[in-house]
Amino acid sequence: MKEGEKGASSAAARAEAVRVQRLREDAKRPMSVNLAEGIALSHKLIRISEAARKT
Amino acid sequence: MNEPAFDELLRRLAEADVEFVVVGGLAMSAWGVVRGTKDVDVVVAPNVENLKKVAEVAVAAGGHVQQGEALLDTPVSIAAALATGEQVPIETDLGRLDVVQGLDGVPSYEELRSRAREAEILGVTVAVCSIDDLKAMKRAAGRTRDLADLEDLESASD
Repeated sequence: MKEGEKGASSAAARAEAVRVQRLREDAKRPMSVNLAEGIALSHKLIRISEAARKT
Repeated sequence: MNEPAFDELLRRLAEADVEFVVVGGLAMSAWGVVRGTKDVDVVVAPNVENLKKVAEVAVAAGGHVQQGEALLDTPVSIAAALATGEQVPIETDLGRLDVVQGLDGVPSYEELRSRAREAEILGVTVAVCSIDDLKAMKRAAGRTRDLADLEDLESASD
């Protein structure tokens, strides 16, 4: 593996480790908090999709 | 759809005493894999009275179901569609309510409800399927996205 590839691979592994750590932290929060956040994110996603569809 | 309001949709279902369990993307979020989803997936008790309540809440929220050429937009017609036991996506002004039924790997309402956890949203309590049921449903669905969700659920619950 070349140096650049090694670096990219290592950065991806670090990013994945951070993502998994966040998942574990979120899983410890109250379910109501996570549900409310998921709903808020869903609303944003739908608004973006609707806006893209109209343009 | 006007403005999406999944929380309001859940509140209306709960206030109408609809027997339902949240599954799918919102259940993923509730269990810590917080992400956006385009619909509210629920499994409902399949008795006639409950299906009627689901249909009434949906129609009061401007709900309709497109079935081929036919547009179902009355409580009676939507309740009849639900009574077929097939999956029924209902488009409402508050967002899409996807009534999940008749799919392989989806436990019955009674099974899901008996293992569900409760969460508060807009001052009402809603049942969210257990993480084990959610994982089982993702495993059974088996699409790339479902398997990625399954991996995230496993990571979140490690």
